Amino acid sequence: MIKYNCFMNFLIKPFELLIKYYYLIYILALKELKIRYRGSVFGFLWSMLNPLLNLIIYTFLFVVIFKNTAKAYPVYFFSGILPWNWFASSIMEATSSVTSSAGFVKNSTLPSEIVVIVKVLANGFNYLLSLPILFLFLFLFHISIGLSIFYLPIIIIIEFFIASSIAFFPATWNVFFRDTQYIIQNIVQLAFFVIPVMYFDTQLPPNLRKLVYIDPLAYLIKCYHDVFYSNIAPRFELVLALLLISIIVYVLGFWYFNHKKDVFVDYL
Amino acid sequence: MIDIEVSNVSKVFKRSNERYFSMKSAFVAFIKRGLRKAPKQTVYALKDVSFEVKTGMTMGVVGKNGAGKSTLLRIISGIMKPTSGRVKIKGKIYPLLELGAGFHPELTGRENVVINGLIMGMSKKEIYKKMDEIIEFAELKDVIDEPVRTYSSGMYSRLAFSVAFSVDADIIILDEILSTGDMAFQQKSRQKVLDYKRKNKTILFVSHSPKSIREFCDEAIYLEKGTLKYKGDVEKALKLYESK
Repeated sequence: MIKYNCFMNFLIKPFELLIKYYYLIYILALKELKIRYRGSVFGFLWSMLNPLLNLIIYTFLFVVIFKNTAKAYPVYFFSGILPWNWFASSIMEATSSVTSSAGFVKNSTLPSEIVVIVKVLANGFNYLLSLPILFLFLFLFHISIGLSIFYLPIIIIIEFFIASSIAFFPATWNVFFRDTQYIIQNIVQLAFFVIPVMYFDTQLPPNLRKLVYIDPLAYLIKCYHDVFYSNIAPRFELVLALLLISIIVYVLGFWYFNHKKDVFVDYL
Repeated sequence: MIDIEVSNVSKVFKRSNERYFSMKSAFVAFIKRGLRKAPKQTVYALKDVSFEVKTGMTMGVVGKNGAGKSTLLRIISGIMKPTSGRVKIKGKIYPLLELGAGFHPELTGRENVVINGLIMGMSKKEIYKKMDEIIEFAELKDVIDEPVRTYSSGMYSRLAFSVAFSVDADIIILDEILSTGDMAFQQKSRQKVLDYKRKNKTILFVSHSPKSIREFCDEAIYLEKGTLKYKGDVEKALKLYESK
């Protein structure tokens, strides 16, 4: 019975944190965005303007200059790179989150997991704000989306948990070893080319193509492609598996961080 | 009733030349030293500290800079783990350590009140209920919706102070916070501390001002280089502190 309780605690606590401090996490994430755009004329609009400008540049580059013949290539590219940007900036910002919020960690009795999750959520908001631009382009390129759009909330939740779980690790290492943030920057950049965002998975050699289904991140991006570009529903059982994986890794990441955080104060 | 029980608490910091924050310094040190193990130098921030605070008592903590006061407060409030020893707490504890540490200069006073209040453990409801009271106390009605970076340092700390004092807890830790603001505001703050005392709260009071310690504390402890040198009468503790 005791063993069972321990196990339930192990599973529940990582989620209890999200529920208990939801308002603080929400307010802090909003703060991140506010600070990012404070003082600028357009403010929050930049979260939409940035992708829009990017989109125009890339469309010009790929379609006009490189004469990429793939159908509506900009839409393909953007439906993948927006969630990728969310993931990449979350990881990079979260890596230095504990070290840069020393004031929070040293003076507050609240769990420091919060500062990591806030970074992921803030970038998630940023992603949501860029969605209207994506829809605008879907419209311009005459791509219709069907019922598969209902998968989007699930995919977003999956990405939130995967990003948080991975972020917990470098955030911990960075406390003890400040070089981590620079190493992570490079790893994230490398990961971008391993995952089919710029290219189609069908362009890979056949034996490598299967890797997309093994690498959870690659499959996650593929889900975004399915929803926005190919207009097919992602395979239900694989999405379910992905959701399960994301929850498991989130729990693991949480406990790794939790296990090490007692000594954070000594190193800040 | 005993609210805070600190038994044999020690805190060791391994502040040796062995803590590298970058690959380069680690590598350079490795080249210089070779494979020999570098000597580990340990520093006791606290050494075998024991005392207790009864309910409704105000306990003064005095000692020079670096005597271990802040470390002790962090351990009591549960932010830091002691290397050895135990701390027992009864009731809700609330540390006021570095005031305004969580303030962000680009956000308005009001936004900062919400964030700071949440960080200090208040609920969403509580904060919005107390918002007017907080602004009133800080005397910042006209500028509360301006970014905090436009505030003078006095206004800044007044705001931090007001948020801090709006929290309700059984045990309150005050770390050197009565030197805030002008004379009138200091008078108001003193009144707040006296209010706490009247409400029979347990208070840990750190200050470098003998006057405040005399005014508020029922008992005091004197810390020197991490060891508890004296515990008991306020005057005697102050005498030890002043003679150093």
